[in-house]
Order: sequence, then structure tokens, then C-alpha cells
Amino acid sequence: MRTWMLNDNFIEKNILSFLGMFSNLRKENIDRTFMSSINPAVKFVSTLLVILSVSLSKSIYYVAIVSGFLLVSALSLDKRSLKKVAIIIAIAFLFASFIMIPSLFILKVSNAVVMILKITVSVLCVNILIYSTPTNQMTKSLKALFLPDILILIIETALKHIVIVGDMSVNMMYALKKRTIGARKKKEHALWGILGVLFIKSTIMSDNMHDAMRCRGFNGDYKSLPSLKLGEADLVYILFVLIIIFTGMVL
Amino acid sequence: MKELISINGLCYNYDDICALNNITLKVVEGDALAVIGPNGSGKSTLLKIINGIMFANKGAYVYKGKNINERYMSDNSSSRAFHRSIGFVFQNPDVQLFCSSVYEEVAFGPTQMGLEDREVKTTTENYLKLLGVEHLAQRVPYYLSDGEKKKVAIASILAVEPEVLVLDEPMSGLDPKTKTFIKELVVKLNRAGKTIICATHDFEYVKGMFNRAVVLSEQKTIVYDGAYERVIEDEPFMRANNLK
Repeated sequence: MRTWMLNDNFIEKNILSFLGMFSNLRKENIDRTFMSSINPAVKFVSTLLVILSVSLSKSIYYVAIVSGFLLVSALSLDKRSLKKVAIIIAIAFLFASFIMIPSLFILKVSNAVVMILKITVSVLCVNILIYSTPTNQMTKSLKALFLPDILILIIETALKHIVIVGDMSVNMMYALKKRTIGARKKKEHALWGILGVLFIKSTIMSDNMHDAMRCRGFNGDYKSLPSLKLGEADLVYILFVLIIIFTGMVL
Repeated sequence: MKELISINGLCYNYDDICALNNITLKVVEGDALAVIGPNGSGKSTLLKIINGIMFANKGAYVYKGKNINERYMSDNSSSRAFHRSIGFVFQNPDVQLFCSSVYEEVAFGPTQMGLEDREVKTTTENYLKLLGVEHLAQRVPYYLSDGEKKKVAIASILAVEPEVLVLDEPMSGLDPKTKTFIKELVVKLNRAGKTIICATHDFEYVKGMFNRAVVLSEQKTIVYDGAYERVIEDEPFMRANNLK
């Protein structure tokens, strides 16, 4: 293995950035806004439909209408989320523009612009969903796609284990760092040790979790609670989304 | 008093390592039994066998007249009835909490037991209130503090309304206030008629919680079965068994 790969800072940085990717999983509380008050299942299905209709549309006017609708939706997010979404959208726009540069010489400029807008709108749509929905409700919304309850439970437990095992790995890295005095020649031994211990610990944890589930009557068939009910805000949102999709079919 | 649990000459081995050796134990209805022993004496293994998670290599375990073995537990209805009757609070609440919200966690047991939606809702709300965690209902369980996790784990087991409550070191890693809360709750549950079996090391906080104690030695056998207060006050015996 290359020596730079065994550098403590490199490993630590990678573990932390990997966990950073999953930091959104820790998002439990979301400020009460119009978007956060909408049923997650409604938002999830609407997001998929809007992305699909934007992808299928060839009209620049339609993409512009959807952009307007999504920008208004984004404005109802809390300030912190809005700032993060704005940064992501700017990056998506710049990246899409960059990759579309060659097409400017081959295709018509308007086609390239539609493509850039489509990419930006899709990214915006997904980010509105992410920043207005807590993770635990997001997994529940998969039920709207008629995914079996047991599959949703598997996804939820997988997310839980990523968080717990991730925390464990960071703590083990810190413990290793604290006990390391001077230069270590065989750094890979410690790294393999951590990976091995993490594997064993996660196996034991999953076995114990299965035992805990059995103790509460689980025998392979999982019955989840009934999904959330629709409110007035949901109906208003559904109406707007239907208008948007219908417009896409007309234009 | 009705006999609930009867264990006779029970042995358990992890591959070649003996975890329990010739255990004989009887638990009657309303007992508040402390399972005491040094680390590695087999307390957790014994509790897992009592809960039908593991099965003895030798000897018999009878619960309410039914022989609890792999064959009995492989039948879904028998297994469900058994688990409804006996609840187990694990030492590490992280393994016990797997749902996406505290509410669902507490509702998991009653839902799996086939209760009506309205009954599930009432039961869940009652037990969230009993444990004082109703304000955490929409939180993700694995981001709670250790004390909160333990309370949610206990609520999720009580929601199944078991006759016997088995707790594996319920005080470990908790602050004094939570320890006192759990102790008072267990005492109340026992007075309300629930049978308690609890592995513990925390003698300071469990005073007045048990009427009986079973001491496991490093040789994985029972070396004492009698009044809790008497064994706690027997300093030479406690020292000889690495308990003080």
C-alpha cells in the first residue's frame, strides 16, 4: 500500500469526509415552513413526477415555468437551508454549463440552454425535498412507491448502522492516534485491526438487533404503522404540481 | 405463588468455552430477582436463555409449564405468545432501537403482536407518558442521550405488556437521576404484579428493588440463591466472589 494512503491525517480526513456525506442523516428537526409541513410521501412522489415531466419536455417555456414554481417553493425553506440549496444550485448550474460547452458548437444554443436548465431544475427539485424533510420521514415516504414495509425497515436499519459504525470508526481512529507516540512503521496493521474490529462489532450488533426484534414479536413479517394523513397544505401542493404537469403535457 | 420459570441442570457452551454450568433456578410470580455476578460469569447468557434467544446445550428450561427449546420457538404462534409474556431490555439500547422514530419504536411490539391500530396508538401513548418520553416521540432513537435511549427501550418492551420483565444491567452508563427513575419504575412495576429479573452490578442504586438474589460465580455456577439484603451485607462472601 502507498505510504501516503497510510498517513493518519489522510485516513482521518477520509473517514470524516465520508461521515460528512451522511451528516444529513442526523437532520432530525426542520424549521416549520410551508414545504416542511407537506406530507413527505406527497413531496417525494411530486419530486419524481416534476423531474420526469421536465426531462420529457422540449419546451424552454415549460422548463422556465417549473423553475419559477420551484424557486417559489425554495423561498419557503428556512434561511440556513436556503443558503445551502443556493450554493448547490450555483455549482450544478456552473457544472452543467461547463459540460455543455462543446454542444454549443454542435447543437443550437437554445438546446444547450434547455439542457442546462433541466439539470439545474432537477437538482433544485431534489434539494428542496432533502432540505424540507427529516431523514426518518424520507424513508417512510418510500411507502408511497409501494415498496414493501420490510424493505423500508432494512433501509432504516442500514442508515442507523452507518451512523453508529461511522461514529465508532472515528472514535477508534482518535484512540489509535492518542496511543501512537512517534513514527509507526507498520501503519497498515493498525488500520486492518480497526477494520476487523469494526466488522466484528457490527456483526455482533446486527445479531443482537435481530434478537431484540424477535423479543418484540418480529418473525420476518414487518407491519409498519399506517402512513401519514393528507392535510390542506398537501392538497394545495398536489393541485399546483398537477397544474405544472398538465402544463408540461400541453406545451 | 404460581411458578413461572423452572430451570434444571442447565449448561451452555460457546464452542469449547463453558458459559453456564449446571444452573438450577426457579422463579415464581411476583418475584423481584437480582442476578449478580462478576464480569464473564454468564449473567447475560442466562438472561438470553430465559428470553428464548439462546438454547441450552444440556438441561431444561420450562416457562409456565412449556418446555422452551428451539422446536417450541420455531413455531410462530408459540414464539409470539412467549415473547409477549416475557420482555427483555438489552444492556446496550443501541441494538434494541431500530425504528426511525421513538413513537414507532414503542409501537413496534404492539403492531407486531397484531393489535388494532387504535389499541396500538393508546398503548404507545400510555407508555411514552409512563416513561416521561412523550416529548421525544418524533425524535430519531439513536440520536438520543443514553438515559433517554434506556427509557425508550424500557417503554418499547413494556408496550408489549409482558408478565415478566428481564433487564440486563439497566443502570450501566446512566446518570444518578435516571438510575433513581429506573429503580422507582421497576419497584412500581413489581408492586403492580410484574415479575422482575435483573442483572446488576450497581448495588448502590438498587437498594429496596429486589427481594431475592442469585449469585453466579466465575465458575459459571450459582453459589447463592436467597434474600437479596442478606447477600449484600455479607462482605466476605461478596469479596470472595469479586463483587466488592
